[in-house]
Amino acid sequence: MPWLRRRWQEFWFAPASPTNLGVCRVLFFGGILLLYLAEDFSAWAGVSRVFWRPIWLFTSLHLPILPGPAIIVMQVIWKVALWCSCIGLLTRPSTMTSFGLGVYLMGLPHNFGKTHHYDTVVVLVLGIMALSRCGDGWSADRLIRVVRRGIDLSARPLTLSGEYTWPIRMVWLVLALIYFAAGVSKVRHGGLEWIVSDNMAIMLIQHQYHIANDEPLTTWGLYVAQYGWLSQFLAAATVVFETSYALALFSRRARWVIVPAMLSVQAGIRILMGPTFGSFLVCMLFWIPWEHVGDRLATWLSRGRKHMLLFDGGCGLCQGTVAVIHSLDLLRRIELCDAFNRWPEIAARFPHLDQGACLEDMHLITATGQVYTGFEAYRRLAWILPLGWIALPLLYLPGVRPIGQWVYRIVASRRQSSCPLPPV
Amino acid sequence: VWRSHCCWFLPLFVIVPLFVLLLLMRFPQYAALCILLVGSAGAGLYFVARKYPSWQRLMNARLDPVGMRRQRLWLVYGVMTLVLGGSLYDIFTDTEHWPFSPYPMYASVERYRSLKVLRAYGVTAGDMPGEIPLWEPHYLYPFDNSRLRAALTWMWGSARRKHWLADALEDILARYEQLRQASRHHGVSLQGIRLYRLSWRLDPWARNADQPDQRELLFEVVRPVGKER
Repeated sequence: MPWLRRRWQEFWFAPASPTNLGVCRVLFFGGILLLYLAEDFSAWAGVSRVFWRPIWLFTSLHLPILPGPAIIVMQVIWKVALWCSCIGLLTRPSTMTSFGLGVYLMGLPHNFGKTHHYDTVVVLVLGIMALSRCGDGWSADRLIRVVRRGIDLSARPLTLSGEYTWPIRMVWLVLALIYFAAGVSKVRHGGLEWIVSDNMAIMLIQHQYHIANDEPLTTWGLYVAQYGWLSQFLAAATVVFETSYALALFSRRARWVIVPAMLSVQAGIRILMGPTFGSFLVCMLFWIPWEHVGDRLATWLSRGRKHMLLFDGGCGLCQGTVAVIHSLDLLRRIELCDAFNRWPEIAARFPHLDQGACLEDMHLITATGQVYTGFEAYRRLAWILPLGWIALPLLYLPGVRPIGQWVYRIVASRRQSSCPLPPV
Repeated sequence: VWRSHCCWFLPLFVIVPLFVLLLLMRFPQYAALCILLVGSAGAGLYFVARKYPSWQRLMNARLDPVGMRRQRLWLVYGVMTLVLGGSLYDIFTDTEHWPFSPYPMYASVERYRSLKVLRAYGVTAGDMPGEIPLWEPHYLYPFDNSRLRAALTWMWGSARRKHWLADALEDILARYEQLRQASRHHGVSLQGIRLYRLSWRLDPWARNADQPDQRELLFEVVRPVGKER
């Protein structure tokens, strides 16, 4: 029993950094926003009530069809909340709003004739994220906190907690239950016949007769249907992987096989039969250990060489700026160096630099030894920081350079008066 | 309470007034009742939070270096129970309680190389009326092909089908024309909708996908000539 208890604790509450959950949050909410951006739920308000067959959730909670303008307002708030959840701005309120409004908006279409199943996973994951601390990493909230608190380069303890583990495991569990249910349904309603008969071949042909929500991407299904053994193999593989999906929860080796296999099944359904399960694909991103992926990418990109950023550690404004840069340095390619407190070290490495100039302007020394100062340093940083890539085109527009240098000079010259710390 | 737990209350302060505003616009006669209800709910929440700070810890979830707080652990186990319980109940009883489901899609066995479906066709306006199949989603929005077919099949199977199908087809026609006039699709103008039961003997290469072997007219709604928009 102690062994079981330990395994249980390790599975659900193993201490982890907020990075993995934060990346999952960004990808999940971003993906869902993209999937639903063009969706107009208010159109359901205009559909005749003769189609109205409320699902149990709407019946139990007595949820009505709201008027069109009300649904428009709701969906605008919902999409804004999804966006805020994606970037991690006011994360707790925005994730809760995403969940609360999402239940109504995504549930609404299912009251008109048929319950589809492509969005059930989204609702459940929205609920899990709303209760989690998913805004602690990779979020605007964290950046705001960093700016407020500044940066302490000497001691930055890494916060590890089970709070960052259980939401990811819960999403795994939801996916496992969904696939398990789908597998059990096939076995229950079709039995072995679902696999060994012409069932799959017939379904593949039928879906070329315009019966699904979306048309199949290709006619390859017809070619597959010509070979009975191939159709039966696909059917068997589907049932096996669906019913055994839960193994991926416990076994790392099984995870490497089952998760990509189900991803292929979902892609295969879209290609051969038509229906799209984009939201499932988005949720499968929770399986990827983003922290390890990021570490490997960072190691590969930096290859032992880092850029060095020199700043005035005696200035609160500079500390705030550097704290933001440090947070945005996802690939860990920048080494921060306080030119005020650690000048002897810097002077030993870069004898050609002058301390006065380094305290006056921010200096960036690239891995190849080139030195950029002031606005040029910021422009160079935009190449180095992944989020800076978005701003790159803007920074190279004609006229931006002189304006940037002018703004930088104004801020730098007034630094002493605006700096929260006393002058050195 | 506000400073430390504002994140918990914020959605209430944003969403509730919005709903109240919408309700007031729609049902102004209940204005006083709405204000009273929301006011009491807000005040109630505030005093509960003051008296029982432990309730707030459920949501607040401060990081604890030793481990997760007991309240948070209970919350996690509560969510786990809900997810597991809801899913397993639907799996074993084969019932649907969205967002939980037994996921029965494609579960039934197709034994015959044939296909029977209900499909709506649009009757084109003009002197020589023709028919166009309505299965493309932009003609049917917000319905999709599969949802509309399921709804029409259910109506056809009911005792009140005459009344329901008349309303349903009229609704499809009106929405098709609205979408056309809003340039959401480039279909031709329609004066009516016909509901057919289509039957095919499946061709291995689906060469007859657009030519069903049988078309049985089940119901139609056609506006008199000159009344189409």
